Amino acid sequence: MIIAVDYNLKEVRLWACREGEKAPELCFFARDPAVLAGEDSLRGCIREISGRENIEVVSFRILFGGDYFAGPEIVNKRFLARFEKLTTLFPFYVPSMLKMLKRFKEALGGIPLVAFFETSFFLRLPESAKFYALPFKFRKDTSIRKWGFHGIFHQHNTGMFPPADKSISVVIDKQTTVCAASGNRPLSISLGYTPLEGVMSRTSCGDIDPGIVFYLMNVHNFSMHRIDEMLKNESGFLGLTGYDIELRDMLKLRGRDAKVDLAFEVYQSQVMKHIGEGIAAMGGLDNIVFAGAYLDMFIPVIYDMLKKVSFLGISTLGLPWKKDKGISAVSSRDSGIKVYLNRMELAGLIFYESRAFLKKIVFDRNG
Amino acid sequence: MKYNKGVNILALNCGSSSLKYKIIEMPRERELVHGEAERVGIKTQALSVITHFCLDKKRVIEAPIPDHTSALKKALQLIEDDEKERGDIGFGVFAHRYVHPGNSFSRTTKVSAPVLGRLRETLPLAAIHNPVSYMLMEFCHKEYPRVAQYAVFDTVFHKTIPPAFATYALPRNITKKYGIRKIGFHGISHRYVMEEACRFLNRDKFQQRIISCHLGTGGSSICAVDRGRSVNNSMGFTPLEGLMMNTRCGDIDPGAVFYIMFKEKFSSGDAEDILNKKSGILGVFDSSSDLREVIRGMGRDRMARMAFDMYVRRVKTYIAFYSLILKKSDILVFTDSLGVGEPLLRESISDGMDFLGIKLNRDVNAAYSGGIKDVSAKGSEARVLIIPANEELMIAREAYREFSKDDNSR
Amino acid sequence: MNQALKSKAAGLVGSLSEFYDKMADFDVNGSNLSDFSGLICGQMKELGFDSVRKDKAGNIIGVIKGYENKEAVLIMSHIDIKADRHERLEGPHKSGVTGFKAGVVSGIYAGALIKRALLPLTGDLVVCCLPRTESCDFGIKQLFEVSLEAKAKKIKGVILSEPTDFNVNLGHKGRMEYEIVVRGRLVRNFLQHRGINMLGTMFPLINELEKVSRELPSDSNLGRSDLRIKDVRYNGYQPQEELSEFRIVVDRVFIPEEDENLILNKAKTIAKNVYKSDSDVTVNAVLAKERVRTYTGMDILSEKDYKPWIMEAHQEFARASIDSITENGFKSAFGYWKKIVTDGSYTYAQLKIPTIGFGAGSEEGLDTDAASLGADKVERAAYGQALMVQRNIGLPTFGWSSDEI
Repeated sequence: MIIAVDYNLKEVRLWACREGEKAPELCFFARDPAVLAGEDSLRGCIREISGRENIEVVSFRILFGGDYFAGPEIVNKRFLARFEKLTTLFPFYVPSMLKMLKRFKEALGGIPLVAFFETSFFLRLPESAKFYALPFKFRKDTSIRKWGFHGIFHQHNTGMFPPADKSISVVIDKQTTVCAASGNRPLSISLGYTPLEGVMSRTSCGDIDPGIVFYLMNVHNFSMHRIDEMLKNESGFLGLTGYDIELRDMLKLRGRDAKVDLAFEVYQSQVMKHIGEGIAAMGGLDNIVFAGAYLDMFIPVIYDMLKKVSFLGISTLGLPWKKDKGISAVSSRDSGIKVYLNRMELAGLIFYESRAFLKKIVFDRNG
Repeated sequence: MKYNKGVNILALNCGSSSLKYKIIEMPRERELVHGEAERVGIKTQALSVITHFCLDKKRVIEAPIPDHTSALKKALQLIEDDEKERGDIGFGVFAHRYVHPGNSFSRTTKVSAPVLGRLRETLPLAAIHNPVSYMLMEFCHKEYPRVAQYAVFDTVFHKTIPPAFATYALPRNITKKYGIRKIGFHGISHRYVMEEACRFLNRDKFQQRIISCHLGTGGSSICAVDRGRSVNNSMGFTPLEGLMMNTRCGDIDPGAVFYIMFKEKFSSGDAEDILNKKSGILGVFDSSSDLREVIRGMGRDRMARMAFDMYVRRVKTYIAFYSLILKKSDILVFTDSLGVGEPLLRESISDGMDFLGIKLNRDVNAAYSGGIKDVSAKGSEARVLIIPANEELMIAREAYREFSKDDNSR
Repeated sequence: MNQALKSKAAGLVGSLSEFYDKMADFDVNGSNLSDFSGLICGQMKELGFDSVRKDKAGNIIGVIKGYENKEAVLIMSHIDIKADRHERLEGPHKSGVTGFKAGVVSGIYAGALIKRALLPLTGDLVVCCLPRTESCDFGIKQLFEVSLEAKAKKIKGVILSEPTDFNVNLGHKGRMEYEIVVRGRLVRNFLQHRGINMLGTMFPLINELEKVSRELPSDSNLGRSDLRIKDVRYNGYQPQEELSEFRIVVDRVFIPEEDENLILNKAKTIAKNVYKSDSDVTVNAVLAKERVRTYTGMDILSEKDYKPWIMEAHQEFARASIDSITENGFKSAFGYWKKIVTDGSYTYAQLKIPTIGFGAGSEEGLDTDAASLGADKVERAAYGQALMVQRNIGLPTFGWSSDEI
């Protein structure tokens, strides 16, 4: 059995997947990770989940791996020491995640823990895509670069095609990210050094003119912390509409509220810019894959966007699209560019990757 | 009945340390005088220089020129001299390029005392360009009260950018209160390019989708023009957004800006200065902010290669983005010093863009020697053109259009 | 980030109000101070402070380690001690009140919040509680000169956890107590030339001092200086000098423009002028001193002198601190204490360490019982102080919002 852990500072979720089972099963959920505090309670929880079954591995989804982690790794002492070094780059997250990893490690003893990073894939971005046009000093001293995000999905989405294919992967979750990759190498990613860059979310702004930041600071005396707060927590769909509602409900107002319509137009424009970036970086396009937890509710938006770029040679099936599990094509047979939906859940993807990782370890061990 | 009276227009185009001027006889668009004052107001060892042409007669004057007003005074003297020799050289209208009027002006405007008052409030919006142009207008207003004066705005062409592309996903109360939206720049140039391209190809501008790449040694921007109207521009609320430029960083994650400020204990002023004046090509390449020098250094210098790749990548991103919103383009134009002067740049930008209908004829491109030229390959859906910039002519055209309206309504 | 703090603040409410109640029930005096400190130390340990200790002077020092070894921030609160009646000396601090407890609790919980939220700091957060008997500054000297060691040189700022009504206070007037000592030879209890007895001799001087008190300067932020005659004592015959002595004890509140030495000199000059015709009268003006015995068993002679101080509003630490709270829902302004004096007289006036005050309740509230200030306000003060610490020495996470991860 494999257990996957998704911990996002506010909630902790554990999924279990048995050999031969396809769909993962959510088996533990807590809003306060303190519920798992203490060795015994965690061990008890795991025992309850696994019954008498053998746990092969506990896999973690980790949001940020900096420069250190170019792929999944076993969590051991050395790992923890390196991971802790990322604290200054993501102080909000790393100490919490570190604590969680240590807690599992202490409680579960011999069971291997494996970390999968959302940023690993993007360490191989071309330099011209990775760096900002800043003085060299800052690139060097501050490790400012595009870290990207949703790498676990993007790698999978673009990796399932022949190496010569040019593919774009769009993950629609709390954040929306657009990635272009060819031959298992990423060529562009919308999300930058932080999620402020790229595509707007419920509350974050997506691409803006950095000059606006200076204008507000210099002319209107905003502090940078105030602006940071505004850009990440008060902008996006919330900022444009003034409606503090979930995106699910925002989508229901499409076509009925001018502010909501504008917000989705701005959203589409930002997605379009990054699809454009991907096309330019690859010099063409063969496949588009959409994935992520919000995929199904965004289908009308996706359909709209595809219609707008149908001139590229995209023809889609009419709505409603079938709710197939896993990966399904929604482009028509004659479509020059293929369009797919990937309905895998993140946990399912992590199980998939965990199995691959285990095989690799066994393979490496046996030479 | 409408009649078009002829008039000579003195068009003034200020850069941060230069002043370009032309006297153009309208509506014939005949250039009578043109000149440029360089190294204005900057402390260099070399003196400031004015290169002045009257018809084909060239004069070069070296003198200390402490500011743009002095440059204009000197140029006016030269013009006065010319006028003594040839009576038809003089001018009857001033036309100024004004970079950033914010949201307060939506068309070419005749300058009067109240207009100057309103312009005064826009000075901080473009701290380099606006005050310079403003000074000149004030000077002309005072010294030449009888000569009509027009302000031609770089932003007006972009008024047509639709909300979907002009809106930032920021809180509505903030954008409303402070007038934050995509304003767009280089409008005079993009409009000129649109008109020249259609004239050259003999096409109706109201039926064309044009992507105009204004790639200069100063600022660079790309504009999507849909049937005569600008629908998107890579520059935003300020000229900092969009492409990488000589010293501007272009698109960047604001989170990175905050982090640098935090890490280096920079004030917002320091950080703005770095992103505007020390980044871009200069930031990456370090030895120069001029892409032409980057191109020359590319063979041996890794950072030169990187600066070039970054510059090209961003131009391509915007061309592709605009191709998506225009549903491909009919015409792709390269203009301004880099766009016209660097064949390798055009070639690299066009590379791999045939998916979007853009294909360059490498040989014709490499052999380009001047003027308006079609450099597209056979079978390219989009016509790829090189159009040398002539902003002063566009400034004169804009001013003339208003002038004849004013004149007719009299 | 502020959301992380806010949610942790909500999570600590129960623990905070329980501890606050416990503190309120404790009637602190000279003999049980050790138990009281023990209670505080125990709570700090339980809340996860990386180290908690007491120094020689009885100061409690709790540390939350920084991720890097950069500048530290201090949150300082004080413990007022109700001296035993017969030992009790009058000082500028009012005794026998418990309002200080809110400051102690909010300081400790600010630290706990930072710790619980797992927000790394670049330097240490040091939370100190200083027992304070009357005007004694021995404790704070001990803290800075000995106990904090090298850390004392790397302090970005001090937050005084004192009542400010959630404003950010930047200073207060100085306060000193001096005594004018007049000595003269008495013949049958009468001063020779005056023909009046010793008590009558004092009146002209008292009169002069009252005149001075009407002409004192004032400061636009801190308010007016003040002079009060606190006590007049006849000490009788001094055998060594064969002179009789009386003292006028003056409580003097003064603004930064005034100099303490000049104030003393002026007092002396006034006295001299009053008695210039009396050849055998000598006068002097000296700072009042008191003898203090700490609960840790040290005897100290201390001068009753609090220096005035005032921080500039644009000073970086002050600016960042007020921004951090006003951007997160506090309606705070810069302010100044009108009545009380604080340890800023030492940290800013003497050591020049940027110092601000922030806390729940009002200056007047210090006189009242702890119970009158609700635990919700104390929790809010802790949240505000934690925001300030985070803003000043925290490692910020830009761009990532906790909702969106």
